[in-house]
Amino acid sequence: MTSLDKIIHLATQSEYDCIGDEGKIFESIDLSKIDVLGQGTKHDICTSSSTRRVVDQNEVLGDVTRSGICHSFTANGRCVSMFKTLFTNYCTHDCKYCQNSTDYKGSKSIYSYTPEELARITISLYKGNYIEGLFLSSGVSSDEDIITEKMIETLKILNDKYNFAGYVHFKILPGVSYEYIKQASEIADRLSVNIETPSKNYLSELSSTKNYASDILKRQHYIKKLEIKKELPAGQTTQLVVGACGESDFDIFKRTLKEYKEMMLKRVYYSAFNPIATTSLEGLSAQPTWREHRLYQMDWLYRVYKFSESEIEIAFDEEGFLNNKDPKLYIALNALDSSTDPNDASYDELLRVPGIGPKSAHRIVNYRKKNKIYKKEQLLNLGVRVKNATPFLKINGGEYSRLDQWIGCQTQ
Amino acid sequence: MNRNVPLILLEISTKISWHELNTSTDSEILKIRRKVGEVRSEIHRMMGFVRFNLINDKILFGYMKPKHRIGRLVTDIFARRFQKNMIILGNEHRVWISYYCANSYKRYEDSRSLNEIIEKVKLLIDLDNEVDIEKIWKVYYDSQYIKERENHKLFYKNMPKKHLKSTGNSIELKLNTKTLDDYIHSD
Repeated sequence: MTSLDKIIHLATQSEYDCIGDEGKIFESIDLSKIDVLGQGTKHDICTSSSTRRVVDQNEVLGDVTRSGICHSFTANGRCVSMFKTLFTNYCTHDCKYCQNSTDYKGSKSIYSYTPEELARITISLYKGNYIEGLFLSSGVSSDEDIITEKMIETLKILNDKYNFAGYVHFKILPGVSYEYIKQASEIADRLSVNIETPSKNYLSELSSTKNYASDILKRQHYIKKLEIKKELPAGQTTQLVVGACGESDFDIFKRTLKEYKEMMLKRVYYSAFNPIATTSLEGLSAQPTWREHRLYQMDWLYRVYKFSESEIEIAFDEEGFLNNKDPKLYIALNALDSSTDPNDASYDELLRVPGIGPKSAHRIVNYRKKNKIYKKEQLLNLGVRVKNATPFLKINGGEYSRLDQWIGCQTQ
Repeated sequence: MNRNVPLILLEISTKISWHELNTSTDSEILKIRRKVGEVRSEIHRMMGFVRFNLINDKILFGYMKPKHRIGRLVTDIFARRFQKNMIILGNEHRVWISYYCANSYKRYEDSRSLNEIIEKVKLLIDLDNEVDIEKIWKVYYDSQYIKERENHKLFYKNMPKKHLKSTGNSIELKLNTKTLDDYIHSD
């Protein structure tokens, strides 16, 4: 144990870093700016702060984790892990659902940060342990390259002046030049371009100024090219607004597959459409949040559970929508022909049983090397949701008929 | 580990392999597995919910009252995260201090209260100052709320009051005690 005096001496003798005048900048900062530019990103839902980067240098401020950390939750129950903000809310696009659109009829004030200001706020919140890092997006202002240059300057200040090593998620604005994307990829953990809709035609319904192929897909392709050369620690992601232009879940599914296969995306995020007052779409009704939830389940089946394309297609109805039921259960009821015996089913077969996830499937495979599974309690102790799984399992000879399966799952 | 863990479990835990711990269905080992989970999740919760105030830009202090004996560990994690900063965490009965620089930790522990230690530190560096980051945080935190998507149940599940008390984050605690309805209708 070291004495209190000694530690204080060690801490205060090291060279003064640059946030000594923090108090002053806080007094001069306009709190409504933080409010408005913060609100500009509240519908951006990528809050994951997990990254593969490892911080092993000395003399840096900050750290990252594999699991990511939520530092708070809003009254929506959503995780707050980053300082999510726009650089400016001045935008020359006319996306109909957006409050920063040129189409917006309400009155609004235009705010912008300076790179220095934004870096300081980020560092202060970081040192207070309120955030894992910075999520930086922006309106495109008059020119997307000019604003991106300023956003990158913010990252450079964080990097060079404050030795910041925390998490950075950087939004690539539609139409930004390759050179800037390259610069951003050298500093950020994660890059993303919002595709917003599943196809060109849908996008043209929502915006007349964005071109799906050249402004969005081409930028995703640039990021992919950069990723092949040098790994991006947290990969590339994207986000769709669900239900603003009448697209079906199946349209979204098809686009999601393309994004994973062709663009090597880490994740696709779905955000259910909410009408904002005095935008052109204020009269359109909001999408239920369960639609978003079912899309995520579909996404999980593909990405984590490795279900095949044709298996997942079973879950869609004739109009191409998912209904408000667990898609995995729905697929199991329609596709599993016989009961699964936990003693000899493969890992993949186990994963297809409702109530068994990757963790419990893994445990079952390991456990049965030395033991035999003959009663439900064993499965319960291995982490299986027995109530959901029983209708699909053959335990000690007993199994459900097809009809009993349907009846057994009615209540779920 | 918590004091309340029976000796027999502690004994078993030293003998079993990681593999056994993760796949066994034995009821005793299951208890250990749950305990390990509890401790790990408390560490993770502390890393997320503890908040710091700054005395000067090198001395960070915050309130923390963990259920398990993880005080020193968590303080070390923060010391590593904020290299060359002095990290002071503690509650009414215990204070942990850690400082990390050039691959080594300097540690100090005290059984006095956090407030007493803070007063002493302020006296030693001759500075009575606290930087108010909370003001900015409150504005940002409120800006992220989407009225149309309010979900009380999920909020309480993710941020139960008992956990907020052990890390002393006042903004969310206020939201939590005022009842969510008061909060929403006030704006």
